Amino acid sequence: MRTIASELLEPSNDVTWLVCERDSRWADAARRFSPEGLIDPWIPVVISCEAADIPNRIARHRMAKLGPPRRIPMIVLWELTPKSIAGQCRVITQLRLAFPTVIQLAGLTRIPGSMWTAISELGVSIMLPDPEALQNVARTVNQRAFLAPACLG
Amino acid sequence: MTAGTKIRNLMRLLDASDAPVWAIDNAGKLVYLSAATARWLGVDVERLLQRRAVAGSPVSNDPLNLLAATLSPPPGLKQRGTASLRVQPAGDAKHRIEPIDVRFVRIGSDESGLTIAIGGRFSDRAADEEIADAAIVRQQLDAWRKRHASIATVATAGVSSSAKRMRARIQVAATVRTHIGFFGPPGCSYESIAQRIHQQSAPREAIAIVDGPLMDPELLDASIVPAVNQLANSADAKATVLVRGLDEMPLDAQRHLVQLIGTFNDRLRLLGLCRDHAMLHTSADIDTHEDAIGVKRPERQLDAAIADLLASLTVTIEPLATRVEDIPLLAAALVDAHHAAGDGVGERLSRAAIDALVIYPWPNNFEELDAAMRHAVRSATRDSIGPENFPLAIRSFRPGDTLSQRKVQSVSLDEMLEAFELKMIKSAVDASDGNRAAAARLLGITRSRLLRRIDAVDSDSTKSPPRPPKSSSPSQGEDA
Repeated sequence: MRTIASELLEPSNDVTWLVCERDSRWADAARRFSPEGLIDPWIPVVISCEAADIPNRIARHRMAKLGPPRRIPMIVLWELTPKSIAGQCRVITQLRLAFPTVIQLAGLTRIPGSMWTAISELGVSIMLPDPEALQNVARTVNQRAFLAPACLG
Repeated sequence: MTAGTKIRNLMRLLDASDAPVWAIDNAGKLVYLSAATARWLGVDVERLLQRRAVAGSPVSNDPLNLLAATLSPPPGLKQRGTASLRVQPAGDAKHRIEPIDVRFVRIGSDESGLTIAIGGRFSDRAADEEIADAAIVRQQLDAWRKRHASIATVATAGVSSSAKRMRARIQVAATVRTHIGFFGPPGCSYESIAQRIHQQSAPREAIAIVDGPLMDPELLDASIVPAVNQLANSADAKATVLVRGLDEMPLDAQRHLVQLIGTFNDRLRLLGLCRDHAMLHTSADIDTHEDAIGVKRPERQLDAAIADLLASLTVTIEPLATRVEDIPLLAAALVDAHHAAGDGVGERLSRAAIDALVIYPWPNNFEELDAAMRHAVRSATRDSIGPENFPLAIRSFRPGDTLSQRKVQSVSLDEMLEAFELKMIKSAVDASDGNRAAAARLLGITRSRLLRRIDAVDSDSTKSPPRPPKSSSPSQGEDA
């Protein structure tokens, strides 16, 4: 168990979900499903942010400074729409190159199936056709990627 | 031979309409053009009659033949039956003809068939996303109904692994007459599933339904006496007893039930509704606990003999919160049922409504979902149901950030501040390569104050190890 404000004095065990979207649809789903399968002492934290802020936020994480192969406990959830996809793909690719251990998920809204493979090629690990798919995905990601705090290094 | 009604009325209506309409016979010749078509084309349409309107056929240089050809349907209409096309006749230098969207419909398939062309605006070409989603869900629902018609309790619908496993078990349960244990959370509708299974596996067999928590051996006898009498009077008779809250039933009543089942040599079947599947593996001495109003109640548990009976076949119903992917299908099925029952005009869920259902935790499971869909169908003012049609608890629910829900221990503010101060001092001293005067400048304090703080820490550390934040358990704090 943690103490209040313990993050001021101790290393954080937060698994941070950075959600980039126009509305709050995917952030609500992330808040609902991010604890699925996550073991103690990991704690999910969901933050909505702009696409341009995401690389900076990841770079500021103390695990980012240690570099690979240590996994940065951050998950980026993009809402991809036909309008936003062009701009976001550029950031997705940048993140993939700069922080390959960061898991990127894509919540798809009106994206045709023919584009899914291209999106996965850019660096998105899992595509979510609707928010209800996030429950199983979050469970799988949490169980496989965040086993024990030891992987924080 | 039966004749249709007079065509003249239809012709009058078509000519009065402002939408261009024309007809092409099976040979591809224009056989009718409405008055609006004449206005649109700016020609005497009588002159177009019997001219060929076939896509891709050679046309002469006659401008009217050319015009007739532009009114032709797209290739493949006979196979597709309907097609849309933007028709743009050439016109001439004096009269430019505006392009219009035309829907072609093939009527009849044999030699007497004809094609009707209607000009206008048709919004159905760009399918409404919400309607497309609803259609997909409806397709899934229809497929599910077809497959599980015999055990069509809506509560068993779903695409998740849990739902599939549950349906597989239910299918087995519906084909054999045996003792069955149903395990599920409150509101999972397992009683209706149990009754459905009973109807399938033992049609026309008497069923007695009892509330387990209220029973003692005598009351149990009294409750199932008609069934017991049937069994006693005829060696061929069979009966089923369905016990709600079997795991809350007093142990002496459970043992009496086992005794009855043994007496009638399994002609008395048990359908037991329990909360937790783990009950099957525990049979300890009975404990009691006080509930919210201070009444002593027994802990949930099953008698070992009852557990043995139920272990032959169990049906486990997972909470809705753990199988969120089933919610759209379940909700659509419930909306469908309530709409069909005449509860209201709502007949499909918008995507925003499904999103709201997905993030809600459903503490009372299927029954809460059922009530919410009934409310939504009733309160909807149009066919599409939005989040605003849901009960307040659902439409106002926002999943809380776990950051604010963290379990926390109490701490001493002084100790926390001291620890933080020491970290700052250590960091400043490190940054200034051990130069304490520089470190003091970095921290904006005097050198003497910095030294006092360091001395205080040194003297504290020689007396006792650094104190961690206070724990709720005193022993933990002392150990650390």
